[in-house]
Amino acid sequence: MIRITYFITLFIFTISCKTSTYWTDINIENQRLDIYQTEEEQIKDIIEPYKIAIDKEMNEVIGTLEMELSKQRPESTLGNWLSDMLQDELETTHNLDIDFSLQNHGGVRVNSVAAGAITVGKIYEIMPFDNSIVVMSADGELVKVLFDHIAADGGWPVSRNIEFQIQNDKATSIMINDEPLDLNKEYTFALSDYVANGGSGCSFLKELERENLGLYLRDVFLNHIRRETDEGKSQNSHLDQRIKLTDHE
Amino acid sequence: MNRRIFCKSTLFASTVATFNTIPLSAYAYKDDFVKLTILHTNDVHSRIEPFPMDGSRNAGQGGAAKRAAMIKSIRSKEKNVLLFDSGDIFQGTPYFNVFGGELEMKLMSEMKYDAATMGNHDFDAGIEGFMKQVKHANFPFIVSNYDVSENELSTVLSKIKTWEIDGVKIGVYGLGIALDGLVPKSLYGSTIYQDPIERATKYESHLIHEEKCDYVICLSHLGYKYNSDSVSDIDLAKSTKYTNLILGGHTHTFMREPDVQNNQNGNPVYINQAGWAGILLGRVDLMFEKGRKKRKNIWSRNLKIE
Repeated sequence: MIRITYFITLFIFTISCKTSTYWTDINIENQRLDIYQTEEEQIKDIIEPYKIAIDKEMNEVIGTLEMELSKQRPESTLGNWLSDMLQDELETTHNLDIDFSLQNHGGVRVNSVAAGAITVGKIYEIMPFDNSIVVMSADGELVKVLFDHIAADGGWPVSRNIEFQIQNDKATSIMINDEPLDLNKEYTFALSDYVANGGSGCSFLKELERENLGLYLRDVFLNHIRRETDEGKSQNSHLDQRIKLTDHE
Repeated sequence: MNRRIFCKSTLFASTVATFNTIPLSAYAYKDDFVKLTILHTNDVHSRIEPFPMDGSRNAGQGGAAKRAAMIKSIRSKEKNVLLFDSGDIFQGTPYFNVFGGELEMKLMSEMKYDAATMGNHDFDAGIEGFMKQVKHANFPFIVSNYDVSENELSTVLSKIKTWEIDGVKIGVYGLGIALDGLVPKSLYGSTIYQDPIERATKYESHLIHEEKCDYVICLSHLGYKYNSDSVSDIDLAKSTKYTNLILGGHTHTFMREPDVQNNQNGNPVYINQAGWAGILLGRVDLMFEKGRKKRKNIWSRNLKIE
């Protein structure tokens, strides 16, 4: 009986249906454009003048790096350099009263930066995306959650006024501006909009109120290096055990 | 290198399984069948040149000139080709920072893209910045769930588009992601994000019932899937009735094979996404059957339900 009902319904549907074309088969595949794929000359010709201009702008030397920097966990010379530039620039140039600043490990896109001339392009390589800086406030309890997350991830670039140890994937002995973390205190900190919006596993930050400074992280670095070069300073970094790995029990 | 993943639709598979009378060589009757090849990219992120040869993971991969050559080669072999992009054309290399997306638009026009949707990063130069670059695009932008009636985007965004190819009518709508929190308000201005599923059901129904489309495609920048309650392509597939194919983006998902979800009518919806940065070119080959043989497929579909 059910079969018959189906048949009748279908029959009506079929004759009342105006379109008479329908898909019967589908095949989906994603093809890789690898290094051996040939290139279309016409497209290369369109790109050429833009490439020349880009190369010129990116090759501009804005400063000097005294040492090779590398990206590592739990802390690194590259991470500390970027973090302290951010903190300095927000405090001095932008007169912001912030307790600390941080960036996600994955947001730093190169593994090392060679000593010598710093070009605009090098900074773009380190930070290709236009992540802007966000300032938010949270109590010590949420800061603990954030630092635990950073600890579980092996350590992120944080500003010099933070100090903690990673013990069993948790942040312990946390010091902020030389004082132990106070779970009830309100802290103000700067980070990228990407992380503030829940990126790099920080969904617990998503609902917090924030102020987007409308300022790109990369521009802060470019400005900082240019300013210090004008002041006759070259760039440097060091490790200071701001994040320390302690032995697992 | 190009590992082919042949994915039969359940529709076709069940037909074959149930009715052995349908010849497997059915495609030999050429007049009855139309083949359509859909090529697609997403999240190209201003990757004009291949990744630099610096030993990094993607070194040498991607690049507009390679993509153009691959597309040209496919066009030379296939009669019916549509080329789409699912958003985030902008942002990621100095080409965008310096030229604001001009070259991206010019190259996509040269490659003869048929349509694109907008990603969150396509707002990175603001509405004004997008308007400036869209002049270099000779293809339409389709976004069905942004209310842009209060700003300039209303003059350049379409809610839907249709293509008629060899008697087969293709309908396309587009979905953008929630902008709040992802894009500074100063950049998206008076653009209002609307419920993507509500808009999708409205426009897919319009494409089927009013436009009489044979096949409905969604260009989506919602993202493939989430652990949170953000609306994903999977949610979309499960919530719609007439959408056949979702060409996704935003989550930069390298799909080894398409995801297939059942829609509200119990029919399969295919979801594909081609990674990001133009490392992959997504390819969907569709076979359409013309004429009055519809009943057998409807029949097979209902046999499945039973």
